[in-house]
Amino acid sequence: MKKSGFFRLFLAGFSFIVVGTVFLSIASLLFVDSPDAVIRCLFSEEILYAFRLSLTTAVISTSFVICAAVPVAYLFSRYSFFGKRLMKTILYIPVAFPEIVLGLCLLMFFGSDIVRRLFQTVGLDFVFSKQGIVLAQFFTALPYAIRIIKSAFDGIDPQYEFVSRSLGYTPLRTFIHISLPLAKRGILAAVAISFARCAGAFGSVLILAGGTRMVTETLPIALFLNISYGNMSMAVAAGLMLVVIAFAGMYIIETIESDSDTTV
Amino acid sequence: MNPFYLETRKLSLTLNAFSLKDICLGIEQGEYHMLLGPSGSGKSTLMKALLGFHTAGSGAVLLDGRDISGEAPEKRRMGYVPQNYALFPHMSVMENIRYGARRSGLAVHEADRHIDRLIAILGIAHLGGRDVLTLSGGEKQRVAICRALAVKPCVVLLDEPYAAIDEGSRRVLWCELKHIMMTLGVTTLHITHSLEEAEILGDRLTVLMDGRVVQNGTGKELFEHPANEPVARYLNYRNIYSGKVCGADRKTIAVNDRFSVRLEQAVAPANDAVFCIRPQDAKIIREDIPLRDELKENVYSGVIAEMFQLTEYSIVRFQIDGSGSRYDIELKYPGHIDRRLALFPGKKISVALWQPKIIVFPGAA
Repeated sequence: MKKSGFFRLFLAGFSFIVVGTVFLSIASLLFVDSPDAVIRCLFSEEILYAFRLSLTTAVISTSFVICAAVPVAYLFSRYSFFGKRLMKTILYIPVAFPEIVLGLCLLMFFGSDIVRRLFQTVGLDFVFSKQGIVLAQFFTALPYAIRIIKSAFDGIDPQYEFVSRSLGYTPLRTFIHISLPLAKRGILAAVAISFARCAGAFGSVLILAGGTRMVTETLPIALFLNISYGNMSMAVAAGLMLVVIAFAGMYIIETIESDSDTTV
Repeated sequence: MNPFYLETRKLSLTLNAFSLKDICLGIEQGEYHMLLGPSGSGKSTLMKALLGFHTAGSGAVLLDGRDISGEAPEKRRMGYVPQNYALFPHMSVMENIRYGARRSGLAVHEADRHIDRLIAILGIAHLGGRDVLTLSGGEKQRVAICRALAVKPCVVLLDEPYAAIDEGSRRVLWCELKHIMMTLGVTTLHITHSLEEAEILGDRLTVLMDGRVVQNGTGKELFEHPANEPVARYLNYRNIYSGKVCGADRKTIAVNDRFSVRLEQAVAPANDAVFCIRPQDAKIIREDIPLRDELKENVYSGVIAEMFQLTEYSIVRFQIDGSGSRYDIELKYPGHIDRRLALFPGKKISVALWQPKIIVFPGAA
């Protein structure tokens, strides 16, 4: 009993130090020389533009990410087929390499003559445009969403689906009536994390969509441009907004997970 | 005319390292059929193949004479109750029950009437609006059965439906379940690895071992005449011996110098044989009571080597005089016999084997 108490105390103390370090690093954004200037910057035309652009593109990208991730994650979770491991590896690659490399890959592909012209015929142009922001955010967040949603489907007992099929439901109807509702929490968590990833995407957006002020200027781009110009107040204002978005995303995930929390 | 309502003909399939081989199974309409076998024997795999979730490599599944081997699970009209009942946790009890009715093809009023009848028979009217996560094991089982029956299936497949229910409640529910199925006249295939459950519930039983059907028949046929040594071992024949057939009449099998048995009939044509007898068919001899004819041929003197007194019965392990074994024969008898005969480890007793119950497998040694 005594030993278990000591261990618990040790874990609590250690965790407190880790959390404290992370918190202080983030909170340092608040301890600037001129808070008034930062507050003014928060409501400046540039930051509000970047905020609106980040929010709009992140909402659109997240919707596309979830629409693409759900069927792919279900396929990976429920079926075995030749080449599955290779497919998974390819989809998860962007998690392992820097975002800036992903941006370069996207620029090389979607910026190539043939592909660019092909998309232009349907009114899409991803290079140095707002559409490029959505595309870059989509590819940045997709692997995370697939992983989270796949875990959610993995956690569903296949017996539910077997029973549904035996009761006359086709695989598609079973997916809609049973699998999707049961994976709801995982999908919500994927929405939150994808949104945060999309809003915070920097390297891939910079390379594909460009970092043009007041055109393709999302919050991370605004932060980068203003640091480059030495405008720290604007940079901190952009950083604060990104922290708020990330905090909201993480808090939603924690709320979802705490509903199914099992603690001693 | 084909007597079977649900039938498999030489059904074979391979799943990773496991395979079902030439499964021939026949279930008559309205029959309560038990599929029995040790863990890993392929019972659940066979059930999934019948439901259409595993595609057979060869052979056929016939339902009412129609080959359904190529049909999708949702077309087969087979009710399924899995081991954990798999009640949909995002639906209430009533939503679970009505879930299949939407796709069953039954008219709304007909489905409603049918469900109302099932709910009344199963006694679950009070559970209607409850969250399925709050139900007890027995309640979950009833709701799962009701859900499966709500679509008026041709056959109901139950995969170890008592696995999640405590031992005490299990016995009560056995009889109730069979009564319900008989009342509704539903053809049922029930998987279990419990011998007691199989013997009590099954009109007929099929034993599956290592992916093969090794025997089928009524409970009496199976338990009194196991097809081979592995089946006998599985059916709790604790006394299994191999020996040499001897004597001019070939009615004796000698296990060793001190232990041999006399049989009712000659063993032909093998020189080696395995014989077995259930613990309940080995009897302790009482000096004050005349010995019955069936016991006279195989009587042994020795001591009680080990004794286990359980609530309902006792087990004695008996060592024949001069034997080097830890024990030679295991006996099982009602608990009150202990007290009447004042048995204890080390006590000298005589034991006899009930000759008609000795099962012989010639040449199996």
